[in-house]
Amino acid sequence: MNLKLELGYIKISDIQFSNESKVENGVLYVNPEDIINLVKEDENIASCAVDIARPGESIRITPVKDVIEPRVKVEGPGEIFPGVIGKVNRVGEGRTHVLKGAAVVTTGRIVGFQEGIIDMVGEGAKYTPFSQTLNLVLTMEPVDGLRPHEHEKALRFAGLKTAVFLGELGRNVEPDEIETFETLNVKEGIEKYPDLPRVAYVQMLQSQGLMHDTYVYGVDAKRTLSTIIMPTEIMDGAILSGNCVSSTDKNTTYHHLNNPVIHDLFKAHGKTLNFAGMIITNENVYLADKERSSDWASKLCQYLGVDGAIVSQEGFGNPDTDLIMNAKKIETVGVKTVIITDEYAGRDGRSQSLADADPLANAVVTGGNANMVIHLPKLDKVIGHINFVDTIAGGFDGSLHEDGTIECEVQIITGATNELGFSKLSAR
Amino acid sequence: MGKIKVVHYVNQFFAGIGGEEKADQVAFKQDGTMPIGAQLEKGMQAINPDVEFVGTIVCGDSYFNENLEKAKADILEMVKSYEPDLFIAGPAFNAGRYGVACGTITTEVQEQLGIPVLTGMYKENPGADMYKTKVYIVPTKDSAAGARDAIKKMAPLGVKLATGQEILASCIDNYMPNGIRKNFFETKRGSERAVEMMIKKLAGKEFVTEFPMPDFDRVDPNPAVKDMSKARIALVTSGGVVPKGNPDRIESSSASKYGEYSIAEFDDLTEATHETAHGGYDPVYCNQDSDRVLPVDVLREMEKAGRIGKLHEYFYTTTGNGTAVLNSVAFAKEFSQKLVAAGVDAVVLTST
Amino acid sequence: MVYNFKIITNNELVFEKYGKEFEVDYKPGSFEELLLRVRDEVHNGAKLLTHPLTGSIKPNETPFKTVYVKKGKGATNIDYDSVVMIENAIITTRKFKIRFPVMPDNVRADFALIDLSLMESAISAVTQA
Repeated sequence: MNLKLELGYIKISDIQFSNESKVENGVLYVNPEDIINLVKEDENIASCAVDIARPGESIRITPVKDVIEPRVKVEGPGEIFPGVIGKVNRVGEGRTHVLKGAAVVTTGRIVGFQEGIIDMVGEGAKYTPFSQTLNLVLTMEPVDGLRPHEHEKALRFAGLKTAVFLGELGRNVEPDEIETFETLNVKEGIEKYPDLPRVAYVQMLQSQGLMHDTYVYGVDAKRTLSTIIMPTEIMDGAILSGNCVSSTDKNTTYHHLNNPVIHDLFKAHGKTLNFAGMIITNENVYLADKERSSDWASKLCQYLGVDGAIVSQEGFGNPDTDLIMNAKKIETVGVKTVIITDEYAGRDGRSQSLADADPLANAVVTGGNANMVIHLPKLDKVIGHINFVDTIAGGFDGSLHEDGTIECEVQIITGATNELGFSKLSAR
Repeated sequence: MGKIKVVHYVNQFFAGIGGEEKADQVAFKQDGTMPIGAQLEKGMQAINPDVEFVGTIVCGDSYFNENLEKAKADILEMVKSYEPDLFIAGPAFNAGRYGVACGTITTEVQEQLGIPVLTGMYKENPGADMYKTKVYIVPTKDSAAGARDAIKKMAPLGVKLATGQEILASCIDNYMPNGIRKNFFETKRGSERAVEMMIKKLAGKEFVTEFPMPDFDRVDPNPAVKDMSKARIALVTSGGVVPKGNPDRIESSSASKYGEYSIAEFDDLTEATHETAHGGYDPVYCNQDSDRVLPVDVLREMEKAGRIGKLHEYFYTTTGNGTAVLNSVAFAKEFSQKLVAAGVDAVVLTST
Repeated sequence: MVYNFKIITNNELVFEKYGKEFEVDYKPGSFEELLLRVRDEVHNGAKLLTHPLTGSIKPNETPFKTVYVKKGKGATNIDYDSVVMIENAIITTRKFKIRFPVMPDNVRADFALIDLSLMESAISAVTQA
């Protein structure tokens, strides 16, 4: 009764505008009218502009709301983004096609201090994985008077719908490569790999309120208890991002779909370890919730009887407390932990990196110091709203110079210090 | 570019003068290199042929430590006379006094002369903890058998320092983490590193955390006082005991200051004379009789009985409750100087 | 209904929304001043119910902060975990430099709204506790 998901990668080598939306010979052709019509089905969106940004082009995208990889479910139950775009049926089995190399990027002004930069070239491009993807960028304006809650939701859905629309174009395309992910149940896993250490993955989900939310099968994660989920469910979009804050260490929907901890645990599975299961837990503002959620995460680790657990984080500040609680409690029940975080050590790197600490958290992977100052060149084209740079996270007063260059902290860049370990940036 | 001038500091042993019996060697300078310096010079020249070790300063470990101020001043003059681009001391491996001397003198040269400095030693050398946040220290093996390895690491960092190149993260440029976090790109992504770290941790193998949790500073106790009957004993407390009325208004928690108060006139603290400023515990019993936290009465008895030499006139006090570690360290640094200056031999430290 | 918690805030929006129903200690002031007010309460025995660094918006960006505390029984009953947490939050806050000495009104309003939203997410938990 094992769960098996095949990911069929259709390698996309270019995106072009065309009269007909289709995938042909590795090229994703998009009719912008298709996208605009789709997005404007939502009466809350007044306008939508569609652009293409390719790696190496002199383009800056800002403020980035979300990045989404186009996927389509071609075999097995359920649909992509279950409970949100697709029906709520469970996913994670059968076959899913992926337009590998392509991404939908949404931008738009929800609040006055919006955030996130993707530079397709230059210094900034080194810090974001999305300088390497072929991006279809949606710049959307809301109808007058739309409140931030609805505005955020409208943009979130527009991005997801567009990604599903593009993914659908790959339904009948033969993938270039197929990768198979198999999840054994607890009993089978122990029988098959009696000698390998059993390792769980504990993923912490941002869940604090407006612009800080994550959804699991459509459920707002702040209203969930820590639970077990199949790693392949995440590859079908069971978890998606409504998080618009702290671009450097928020997990976009693209990050969730391609969760690197899951992929690297699968890679080691059956060789050096047995990937025994995945637990999701939240990061709420209420301290009793933090205690409860970390209690449950550690209890589930204990119940699964794993030897080790990798814990990943999302966001700045109070999630440090969740992270340390998780590490401490999981270690206390006799399960060894490795945690993934990032640092706010100040521009000179001399300040205390985390807002919380404990000696039991003795194995830490860091995505780097988000306060490090970088200099971004002037780029030829800006998609979105550059005047936000002064006010977005990591920029600071006067950071946008008259000559168009930007002096800012690396935390302004989308995905720079990702706490799933998606990138190679680190610090010592 | 002209010559890149380096001055090298070694102890009596690495100067070939002798071992412990020659540790009282007075500092002197000599043009050119000593053997280990020659190897280091060669290593640096392989990277940049303009490097030249113009002078070597030799000083015995005992002499340096016992004549600290004079040794420092003399050596500074010697270094200055060569106008070097870089000052290197050691490597000291696991030689404790040599390591401390290397740390002390490189720090001094860096601060006084503004010249880049470098040293090397074993991670458990006491000089390492004392100076790793002040100067670049290359971690070496614990004995001179590790000289080749030490030079391999020190040479490139030395060239970088001497030529003003940017120093990258500690794990790339091979120096002991110095508390300054620096970004760099790893060859593997974070998740893969996490999986590898997990496998090592599970197998009980050594792994290196990328972010060591802040040090929960543990202090080794000093050796026992030899003769208590002659010792001057002071009282220090984080229990918040203050003269009645808390004249300096020390905060009940998260203290920003400490107090210094005389107990010369007290044999016993009473409800009328003392109280606690401390929040976070029930203060009733301390307020009734502050000797319960700051045991003046007992120490006076011991003083009278000749069991201790003298109870120091002043006690130092703050509230420990929620007080930032940095603040506590700063308080202690300040008043421990006063205690040393007053000839205090030992301190009874009470909490709550 | 009498609740045993109180809301400490420098966000007028929070005061407007909850001022009638709950005890709201509202006073305009900086982010850091707000944390110091919370610390004063903690020193008087209050227990933090929400994390002082709610949200991923950095303390040098948003001027607004709201914290829920369980009312204290005086300085003899201090909750140590709360003391440590508020101290860490203050240390973290002080390492960031204030970015927007002058902030456009619309941005201010948005920050106020986000702060309110973060606290809305905890209000049902607090009232049912």
